Amino acid sequence: MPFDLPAVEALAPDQSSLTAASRLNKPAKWSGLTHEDDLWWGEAQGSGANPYRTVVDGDNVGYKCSCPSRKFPCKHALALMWIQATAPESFTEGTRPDWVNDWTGRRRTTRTTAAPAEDKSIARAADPPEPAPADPQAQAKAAATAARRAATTRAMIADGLDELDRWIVDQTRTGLAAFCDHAPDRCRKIAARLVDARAASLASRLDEMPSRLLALPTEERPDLAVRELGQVVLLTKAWRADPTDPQAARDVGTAEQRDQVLAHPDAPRSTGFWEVVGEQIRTRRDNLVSHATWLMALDPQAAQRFAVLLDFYPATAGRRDQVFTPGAQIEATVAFYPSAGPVRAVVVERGDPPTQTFGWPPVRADDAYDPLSQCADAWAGVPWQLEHPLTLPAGRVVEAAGGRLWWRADVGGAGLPLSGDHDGSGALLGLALEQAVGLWDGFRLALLAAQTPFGRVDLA
Amino acid sequence: MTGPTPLDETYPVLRDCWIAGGQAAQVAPAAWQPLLEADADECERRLLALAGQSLEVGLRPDLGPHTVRPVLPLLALPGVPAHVRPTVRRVLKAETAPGGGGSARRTLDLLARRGFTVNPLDWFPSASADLPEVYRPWQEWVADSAPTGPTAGHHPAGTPDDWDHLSGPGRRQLLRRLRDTDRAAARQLLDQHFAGEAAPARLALLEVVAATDLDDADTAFLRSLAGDRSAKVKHLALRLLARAGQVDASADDVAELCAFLTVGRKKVLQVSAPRTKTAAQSRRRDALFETVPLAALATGLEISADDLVTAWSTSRSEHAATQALVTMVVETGTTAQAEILAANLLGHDQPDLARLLRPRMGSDAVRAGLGTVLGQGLAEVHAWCHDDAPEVDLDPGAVLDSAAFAQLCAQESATTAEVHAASTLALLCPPDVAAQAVPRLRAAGVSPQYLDMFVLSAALGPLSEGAR
Repeated sequence: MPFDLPAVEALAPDQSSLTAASRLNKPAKWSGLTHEDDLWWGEAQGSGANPYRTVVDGDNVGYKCSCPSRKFPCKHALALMWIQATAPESFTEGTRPDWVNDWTGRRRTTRTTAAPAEDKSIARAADPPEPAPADPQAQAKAAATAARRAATTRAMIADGLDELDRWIVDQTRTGLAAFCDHAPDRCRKIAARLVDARAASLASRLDEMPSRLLALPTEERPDLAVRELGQVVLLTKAWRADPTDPQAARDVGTAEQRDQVLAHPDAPRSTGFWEVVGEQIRTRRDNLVSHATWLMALDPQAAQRFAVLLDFYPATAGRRDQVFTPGAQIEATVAFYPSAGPVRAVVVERGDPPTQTFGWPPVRADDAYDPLSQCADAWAGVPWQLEHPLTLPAGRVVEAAGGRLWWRADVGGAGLPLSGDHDGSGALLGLALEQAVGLWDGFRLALLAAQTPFGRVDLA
Repeated sequence: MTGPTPLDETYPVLRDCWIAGGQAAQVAPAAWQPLLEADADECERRLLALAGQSLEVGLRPDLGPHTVRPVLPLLALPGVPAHVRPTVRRVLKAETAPGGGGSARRTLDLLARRGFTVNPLDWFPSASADLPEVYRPWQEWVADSAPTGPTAGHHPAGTPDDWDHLSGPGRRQLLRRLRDTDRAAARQLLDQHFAGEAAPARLALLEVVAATDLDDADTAFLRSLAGDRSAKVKHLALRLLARAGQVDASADDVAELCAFLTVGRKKVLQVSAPRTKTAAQSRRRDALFETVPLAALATGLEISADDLVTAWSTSRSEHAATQALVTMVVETGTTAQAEILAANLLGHDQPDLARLLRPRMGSDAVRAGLGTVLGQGLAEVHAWCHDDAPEVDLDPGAVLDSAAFAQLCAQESATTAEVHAASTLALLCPPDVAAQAVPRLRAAGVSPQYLDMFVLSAALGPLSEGAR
């Protein structure tokens, strides 16, 4: 049974939900609006890097959304029902995808009871919010407060970085051998001090350093310590030189909100076809899950070859629904966070799935080919960047001394050691990698995906 | 790390100083000194930044000596379409789940029947697994990589001349193919190579022979195994000779076994093995079932072998005795007798025992058995088919209106065993029937895990032709 407006009104938990839904009540705010019988679904771009997936069941009333809202139904579900009630032609008929199937398979088919319709109304949802009375004095006061708060934050961060400077020298003075042995404890302490100093991103980076350190064999750990401590020095110097530099401010303090990125005049945008080449889901020591989705531009002439969408959520929230499936090709406009070496991005708009499959852009390879030459811009612009996405020409995974796996180019023979996540007991050592994509962290290459005679394969 | 720049020499000096603890500015090269005009702590930080950046930008990993494996060969059948791979992965994960007792085999059989193979990154074989023949090149590739692999650098085509280069599964597949297509070549192969194999390999090859119909020409070979060094090989050879009617049972043994059985001739013929008085008697009876051929037992009871298996009463017999009779028929009965006994057992809700007879049954009888168990329930279907679910030309109604499908629609939980049973039902379905089952199961709200094998079967049907 399709929804009607009185039903939407009745299901809304409160007036503010209806008001919020009214802002999403436009098909243009959605992508992939589809229905199968009385099951309606679509994707709405929210404040996270990835769009929210929403599905509503008109037959046996129910709804599900991947947004973190505690309201039930959330504004996305309400908006989807609203569009269905007022503009059902916005939905194309289609077959339900796996994530919808998953929900319909798990849900109980019990009737949802609507909350009383008192104190909420569709009619009032479209009302503009009560305009705040203009008060120049109050505005000036607010601006002054914000400026004072920013100055205080900068001063606190500067103090925190001074302490970090001393801490770094202490590590070299007392020996990196000891640092490698006690890194979890030492890094946790300085990270806590940086959190107090409002340098949250830098704190998190230092808190995660031991896990990167321990992933390497003992003999390579001092090298990684030198590289990472050196990068932290460069980052702190960049911040001191210009605390308003977006990349430095982001990597020391906190990242901008999505709306700030979209409104930023220096945030480059790129529209075209992208392939989801892989994702990395890591649980950090602070119990946040970092979910990175790597996109590769399929246009050979694209100015920005890679974009990474980052989402963070509490580990206690469990694994989120996948919005982007590795291997999927999408048409999208992405906006990059302002940077001298832009990689992090948000999806501004996502088009319908492409009707054809695009090949990967070709990779040049000759005897002098150096795969790490792709990092040159990042090394110059953001020399503290931890990971660099690479496209790799035809090559193989080979077994070197000690059973360690390496990627080796067919032409020229350049080689990069692989991260410990790769297993040589299966077919990997026999695959002819016609092209590959990976992440280079300065010591190890984590392969994300490759084109092979057996088709495209995920290697992450 | 190596490289053509002086960093090769500079960086290790700085690093070694920091590892031990100390001020690296004192050992920094003279060319760097202009950058180090600051207080001691700032000098160390600058050196760290320089060294870290140098390490990343200026030095390159040195691969050194390494081994390159041969390229994994393409198989004779294409891989499944990319959009089906996630379903294949889910199905294989469920089929091989710990504690489920399943294997990848029946999924691989399904793919091969529909003209596809699995992607090597989704599943990869071991050298010794018993798999559809299409995967032999991959198994040979795996065998190549074993330290003792006999076939290094050689990619055998799977002909009798390649025997020495084939792995165990490859040899069994070759023998199986020759038994089906060229019995003389198969016998020649056994004459040449059987004696030179180790005991487990000899037994495995003889089991290949046992899985096919025996003919008169096999008798000489089987007789030659009477003196085999392996007791298991010798025992199996004797059972096969018995099946071929070439073994004379001891008259005393036949008489003793007959004494354990009761033949009722009122109204209808009924044969049963009543409960024995002692466990020792029971053990003796079961031992006699192992040595006396079916034909000899029937003669001793003064009835035909067909009548014996038709008239066997499962309700009046001890379960162990019925089980022993099933083994006897598998090893010494004819195809017709195996089919009669299977129908008898299925009619009396004994699909577990009936399944043991399936290797000896023809496809029509297997299909008839399916009709029976579909009407009984999901567990009975799973017991009848288990790990060897054949796809048969079933009508949609035979599945979708069956008691087994109705049970599946009513499932609430999704344990490993229940998912395996659902997958068994899916494997029996032709693609069009699987496609019709999917929306019904979704409408019933069953767990998605129950759907995966149906979805896979439907996806690999005629609709996927364009993707090939």
